[in-house]
Amino acid sequence: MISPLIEMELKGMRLYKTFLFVNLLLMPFALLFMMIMNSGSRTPEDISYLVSGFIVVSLVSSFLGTLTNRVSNIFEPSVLELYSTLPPRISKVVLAQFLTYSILVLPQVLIGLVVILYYQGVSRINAPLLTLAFLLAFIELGTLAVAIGARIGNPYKAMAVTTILPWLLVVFSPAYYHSSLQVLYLNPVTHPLSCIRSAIGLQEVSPIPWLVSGVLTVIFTALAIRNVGSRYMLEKPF
Amino acid sequence: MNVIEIDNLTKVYPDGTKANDGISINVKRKEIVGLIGPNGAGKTTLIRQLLGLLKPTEGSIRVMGEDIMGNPDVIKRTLAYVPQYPLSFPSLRIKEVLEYVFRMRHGNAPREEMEKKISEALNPVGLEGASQFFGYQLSGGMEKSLLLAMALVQELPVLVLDEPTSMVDIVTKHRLWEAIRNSNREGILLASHDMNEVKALCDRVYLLVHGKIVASGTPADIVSMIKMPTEVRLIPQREIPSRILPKEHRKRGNLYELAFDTLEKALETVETITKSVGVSCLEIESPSFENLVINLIGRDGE
Repeated sequence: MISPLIEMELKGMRLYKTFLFVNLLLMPFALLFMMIMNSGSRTPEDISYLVSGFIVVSLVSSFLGTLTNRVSNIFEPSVLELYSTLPPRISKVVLAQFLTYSILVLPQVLIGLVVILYYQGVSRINAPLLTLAFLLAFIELGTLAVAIGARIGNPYKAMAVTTILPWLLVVFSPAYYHSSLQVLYLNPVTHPLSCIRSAIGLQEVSPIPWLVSGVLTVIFTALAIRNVGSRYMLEKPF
Repeated sequence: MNVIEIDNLTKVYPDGTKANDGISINVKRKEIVGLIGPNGAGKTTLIRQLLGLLKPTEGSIRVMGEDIMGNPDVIKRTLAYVPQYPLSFPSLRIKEVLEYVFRMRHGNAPREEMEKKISEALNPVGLEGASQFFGYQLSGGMEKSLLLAMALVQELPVLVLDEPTSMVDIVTKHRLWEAIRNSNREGILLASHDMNEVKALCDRVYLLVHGKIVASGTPADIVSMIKMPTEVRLIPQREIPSRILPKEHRKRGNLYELAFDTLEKALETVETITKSVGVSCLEIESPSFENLVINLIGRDGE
């Protein structure tokens, strides 16, 4: 049931292929290219720090933003009405969207990782920890997107949120700068960033970001399940 | 067993609005039942409860004999729905949309069978020549036709239609009516504003106003439920004797304008005039089904 839904979602993007190419590949890789070209006087650690920030920023802007918009579209009353009689449950449709946009953002993540591997060397990477860090980051940000999108249930309102939210999450996280400001830890993006950086040997492995990331993932997953799994989906105060 | 059985359904929203008030509706086997009412009458609330998207405050809904609250899966298993608003799939071809719906419903059925079923769904709605069109190329009427084809290709026993031909041109409208009439479902529930549609398709009609059923029966029953004034304009061949004329009449040159309480009285008088003086020109403004419904709704509102 999932594969036709993913296929439908991917085919549904045909019209926007230029837009997607620019936003998912051209612009991010142009930024990555500039980072690398500006790396002459920097240490490999500095470059890896920036590129790891780039990976998380990609996840926030491309994955979280687009998924929020698409989920909010599914939760429009007219779309819910249509899906109420079609075989897949809404949770499956949302899961298909989660997987589709995970696939779409993967090139940015993988190419970023290749750059990190080049500068850091394979020996400094803790592969199991890195896999876990990415898994947590995808689930945390994905479930946050689903929770917000399902709650808003209107793509126009969602667009307003997704224009501002990724910027706030990126600007107030140490993605592209070094900072030990305590206030940045209020940002849910700071913790998966720390997890990824500890897995690639850029900072010490501390249990705190892993714990916070895990707790946030559980909270966002619970919120997403509550919003998506509700039986009477239009049962909201008018 | 009724195909759809709605019993004493009441829906009160959290803000206290009573959108449905003790509604009882049933759709028998092979029946097309219409639900008519003005905006805000509670049709959408009723349909959303039938689709399992809103929880009834009181009452029950049974589809094909199964209670949807105890067994919500029955909705997905038995019911196909055509929404009121044309949903757009801009990047998908018509055929692709139907393929996905078919595959969701029937899994990996053989390709030939899928092609056959899709063709059978496209032909009656007149989209057979447009199967390769992208969603963004479709007119409003084609989008509505596609939604009906999506419902038909699933081959489910129950069809629920919410204004299936709104925003559709008259030719397409008649084609869609034909497709609905020939769809051979176990039962069809049709919510509509279009009185001609209801009259053309439905075996029985429920009139919903302010969340309550105010009238029900065949379209003919509804017509007979209320007496509507009828106006007659005629040019007689000779002068009409005043004893034949009704109290309310006006003469403008050769033209007589006569007003009656009922259609029957109007016809009797016209017959008498024809026999006694002859008629060279005649126009009768008889109550339309639409006027009757408006009259019923107005009367209930008062």
